[in-house]
Amino acid sequence: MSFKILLVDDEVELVSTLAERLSIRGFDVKWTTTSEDAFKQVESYNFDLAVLDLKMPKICGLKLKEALHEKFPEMKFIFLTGYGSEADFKTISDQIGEEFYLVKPVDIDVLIDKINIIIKSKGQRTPS
Amino acid sequence: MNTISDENVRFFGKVVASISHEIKNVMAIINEKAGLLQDLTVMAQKGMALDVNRVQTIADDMRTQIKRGDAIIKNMNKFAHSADEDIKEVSLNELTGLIAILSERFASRFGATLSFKPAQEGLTIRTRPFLLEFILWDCIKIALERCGEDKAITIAVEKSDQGAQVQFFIRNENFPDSIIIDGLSWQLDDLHADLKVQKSKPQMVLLLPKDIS
Repeated sequence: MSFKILLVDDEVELVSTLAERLSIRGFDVKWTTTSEDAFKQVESYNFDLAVLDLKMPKICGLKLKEALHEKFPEMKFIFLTGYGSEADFKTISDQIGEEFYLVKPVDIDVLIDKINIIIKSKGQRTPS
Repeated sequence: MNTISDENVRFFGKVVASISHEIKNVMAIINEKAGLLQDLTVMAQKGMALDVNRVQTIADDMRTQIKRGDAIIKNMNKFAHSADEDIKEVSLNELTGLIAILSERFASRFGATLSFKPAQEGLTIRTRPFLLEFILWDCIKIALERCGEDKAITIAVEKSDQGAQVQFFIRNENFPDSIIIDGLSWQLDDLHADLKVQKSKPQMVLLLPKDIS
């Protein structure tokens, strides 16, 4: 059974291309550019992981995570950020307790390493 | 006048931070498109058919993002140079249009859209460009915080008896009669400008003299 990932980022070209690249690597990926559509998608599909942009219109990634986590406590999260450096975001992430984050532009191998850590923590098999 | 202040530096920092996020997004997209080209190449090396049209589309997408990045950097450059001279003659259409563009990402965080209507005829005023940008940015922020359900703001430049005016139309019946502009008071004084609220429209109007010297 494929590991199901939801990508949410308001940059359509970014989120659609990243989704395609993850699909090539054997993940079951859906994507959206809005938090409203993210809520709709999680209602109809049982995602294992959501990869969220930290800064989005209307609702930030952290608020979206809180809302999704409340409804789907098993879902895991990775954040993407346009912050200047990982050190900048670490200051914030230390305060909020988020350890899975990546600074844009993302190295897909690093993203997959983080995804694989989550897959293993759920007792599932990584795609070959 | 105050040539530099904490508020000025903070404003400069906010705008540059917003621009840097935009540039990061452009770079992130180019990074993914380049990565996808690599992925397709690896797949082709393994014997899968390479779709030439797909490769062409990805290359076109990359070129689009490079043009987008170039436009963002040009605007950043214009903004940075607005602090070169304390007082100078500026095109109000150009300066207001620049701040409207630079505010778009900020507006999107409110789920709002900004539209800009330049004056039909070119309109130049002699003013303090950086300070005027500061005030326009803050006016947009004030409008965004009060734009109600419609989430649409129109910024219009017009000629006026005194010189020029920039109107901020907000479709919100509950727009307040007055707004607290303490944070802008010395900047407005330095520009010999005034900010008025017209609840009947509703709109805010920034009144600017033709020449402050």
